[in-house]
Amino acid sequence: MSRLIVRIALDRIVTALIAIAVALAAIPVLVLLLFVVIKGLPGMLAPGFFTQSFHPYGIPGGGVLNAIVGTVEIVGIASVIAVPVGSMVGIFLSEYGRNSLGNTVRFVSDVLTGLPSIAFGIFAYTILVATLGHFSAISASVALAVLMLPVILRATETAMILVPHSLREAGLALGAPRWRVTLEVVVPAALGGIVTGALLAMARAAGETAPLLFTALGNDYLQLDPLRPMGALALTVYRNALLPYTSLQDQAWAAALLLVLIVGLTNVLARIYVRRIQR
Amino acid sequence: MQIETAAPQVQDADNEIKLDARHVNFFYGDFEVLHDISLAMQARKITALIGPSGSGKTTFLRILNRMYDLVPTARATGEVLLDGHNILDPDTDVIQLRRRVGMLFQRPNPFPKSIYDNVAYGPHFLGWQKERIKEVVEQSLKDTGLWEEVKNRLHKSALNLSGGQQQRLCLARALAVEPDVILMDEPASALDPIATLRIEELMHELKSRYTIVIVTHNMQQAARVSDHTAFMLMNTKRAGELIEFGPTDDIFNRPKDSRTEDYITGRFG
Repeated sequence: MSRLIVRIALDRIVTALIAIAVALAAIPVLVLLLFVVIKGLPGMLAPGFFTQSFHPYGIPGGGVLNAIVGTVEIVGIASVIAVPVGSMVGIFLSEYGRNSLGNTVRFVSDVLTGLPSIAFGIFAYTILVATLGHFSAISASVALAVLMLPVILRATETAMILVPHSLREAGLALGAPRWRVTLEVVVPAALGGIVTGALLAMARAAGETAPLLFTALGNDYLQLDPLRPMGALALTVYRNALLPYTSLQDQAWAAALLLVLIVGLTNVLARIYVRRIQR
Repeated sequence: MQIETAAPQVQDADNEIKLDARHVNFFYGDFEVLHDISLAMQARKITALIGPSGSGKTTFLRILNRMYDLVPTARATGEVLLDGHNILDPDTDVIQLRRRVGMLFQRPNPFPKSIYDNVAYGPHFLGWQKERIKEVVEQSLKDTGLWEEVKNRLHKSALNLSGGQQQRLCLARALAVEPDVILMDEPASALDPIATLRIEELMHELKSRYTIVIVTHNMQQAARVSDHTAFMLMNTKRAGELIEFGPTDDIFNRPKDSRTEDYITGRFG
């Protein structure tokens, strides 16, 4: 009888410890979110936040339209480069990559994942900004594309490996060539995971600041030419937060909130999409 | 215990040999998995492979459509003649071979596509005309008794079908490329008794047109469906060997080898 009591007590203690650990992990995230929402909401509700570009201090109104458009364009171009290349390399790794070439690619990709993001900026600065002689959005896209590559590639490989081997065998046993089975059976079955990986990589790229500092540079005016400097939400947060004017600091908070919302929304959309495909 | 293949012990009026394995050895790297298997499988008959786990039944079955090619270290020696041509020959076109030798797996493995697209997959990559594909899909589904059950939801996902229906769909998918031989690797092991019965009935219906080779753990199933039975066992070096092969009736009622008798009567395995 007393043993039973000890066991029940132990069970409760361990359950409580786990609950505390979960709370410790969750509280910082929730506090951070709450903080960004409280600090960012006023700036976001200010007139012109979504519809106007940057106004210097003292000129009423002003918003982050230039930065929103810039983030969308820079990340968009980066995705056009990184998603096809990354998913194709991921498909190669899972279907044909059980050899030294595959292992080398995996190793390089792991090293890339661990690299500080500013290094991607230096890389793009050296090969594009220095050679072209000026800052440009496209150089930021290249930096972000290289940063996204390992994320997409590993997500694709994982999604492909999760497709049951029996499906590949079913296709091959019908007499289908291997490349057709890969493209027509395995890739569609893994599409949910591949798309999720790509969306998460895009969300991560949208939040990066360091690779943009000496590539896109930033631009207070709305402009669409990828060969010229361009604003971005992360750059707005970084620049405005350092200015001594509260109205512009509020704008920085609001831009941060907008980034959180974009990343969060992308995650939710990815999950909904995957759930729909799996049905 | 050596069984001569040139003169199978089976004497039927119509004893055309479809698949003839002669002294087949099979290796993973240096490890011998199958030792000197000689087995002649007759056209439009059902040959069952029985034996305990590890006796190499499935391995042998996978030689017949060269599925073992997927394993880099796998290697087969000897000969397997399909209508007189050695399929183990390195020059054999594996893709052509697998079109002629279809396979049904242990667990239903429909593609995560619609019912129609599952059956149409083979004809589609063969580049057949749309009309012909439509006909062959309908015919294959009729041949497997699925047509009436699915004709109103051909474009719905195949994954919503029951396990038994999925397995019949996989059979329809294999029939759609018009093979001569169908290999079945314990096709009913994941199914309930009623679905199992459907598969067995189908085998009876299909054998007038196809040569069927089935691996089964279930001796009653072998006795019910097959014309000939091969009994396999692992030897002392852990390689699978053919112990006895003959008409199913003889194997189950008058086994020549004491090991066959022990297995049939449930003394081991």
